[in-house]
Amino acid sequence: MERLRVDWRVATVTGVSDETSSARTLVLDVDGWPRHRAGQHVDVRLTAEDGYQAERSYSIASAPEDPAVSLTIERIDDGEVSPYLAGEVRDGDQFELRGPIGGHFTWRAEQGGPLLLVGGGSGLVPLMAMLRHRRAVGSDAPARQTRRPGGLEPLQARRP
Amino acid sequence: MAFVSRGFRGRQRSEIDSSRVPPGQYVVNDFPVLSAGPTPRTDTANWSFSIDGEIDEPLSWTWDELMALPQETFTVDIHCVTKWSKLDTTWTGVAIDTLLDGVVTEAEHVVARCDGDYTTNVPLEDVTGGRAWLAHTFGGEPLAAEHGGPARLLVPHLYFWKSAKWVRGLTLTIEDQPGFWELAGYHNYGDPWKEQRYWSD
Repeated sequence: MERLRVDWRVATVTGVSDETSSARTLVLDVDGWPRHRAGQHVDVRLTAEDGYQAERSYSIASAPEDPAVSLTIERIDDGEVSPYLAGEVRDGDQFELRGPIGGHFTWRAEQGGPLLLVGGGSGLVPLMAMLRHRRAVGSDAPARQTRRPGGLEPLQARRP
Repeated sequence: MAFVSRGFRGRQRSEIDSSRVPPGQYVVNDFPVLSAGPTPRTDTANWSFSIDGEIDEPLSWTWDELMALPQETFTVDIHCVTKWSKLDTTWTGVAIDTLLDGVVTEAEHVVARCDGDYTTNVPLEDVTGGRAWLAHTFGGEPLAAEHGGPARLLVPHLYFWKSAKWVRGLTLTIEDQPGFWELAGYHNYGDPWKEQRYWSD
């Protein structure tokens, strides 16, 4: 078990791209980011002008090999944080983030396969991190992924 | 104070008593389900609960024996480490004090043992003194399997992963023995008011 301190860091948005009509990927430059494992998540903390803070957890979408950290966020229309992250945020914006978090649901290519990845909606995001990791290291572990029609389906095709 | 996130205002929050919401938490009205594995389903006819470890004679109760013990109905706020809090949840169950009545032990910790092999550790003093229950009823209804039924541990003053679902026993221990999430990077104690989410908090 790695024992990295889980400290708050500043994340700067360096790219924003729509995945679907309700999901958006934020590419982040994170101060001192330690390498994550595919399947882990981060905590995001936003601070309003009046000092009010909101925290949420989001899965990491990018492979550990990717120098930038990406989060893919599905917008929940009556949500408090996702409409901001998947709507308002633009290049250069900053927020706080800490992680990587979670050691249970992760995959490293050395663990081998086969992989059967089943997820729906934003649950696809950590599975995509695993597939991107698989591709980045040239793993030949057999992998199958199921997805729900109408979910984040175009994601794999557009962001290999 | 951290810097401001441009354009973030947050939700209208006047209707919630913020003094009841620990830092970093938000209030939900539904009851999210988060489990690390499949949901075990144990019939109450085959269910038992035991206390073992640092105790002269291990104790055990069948479901009927549990139901024959003094029952308490109580309303508490619960706080999940994944950020949601649920206020004014009403449960019925047996106080851990009742189960430990008359027990003499050198132990200072307990490990909750569960169907599905989940474990979590709590200091003994945190499950006594009227602060923890073996809960079998939620909102007047039998506790659903997805929420830990037939019975779960309830330690509402700690993050909710300590309130182990499908609990089948407590092991009294001299040494602290970190459980499933505690070994996976989460905080060993988990006080929501100190925001003790991860091991280094």
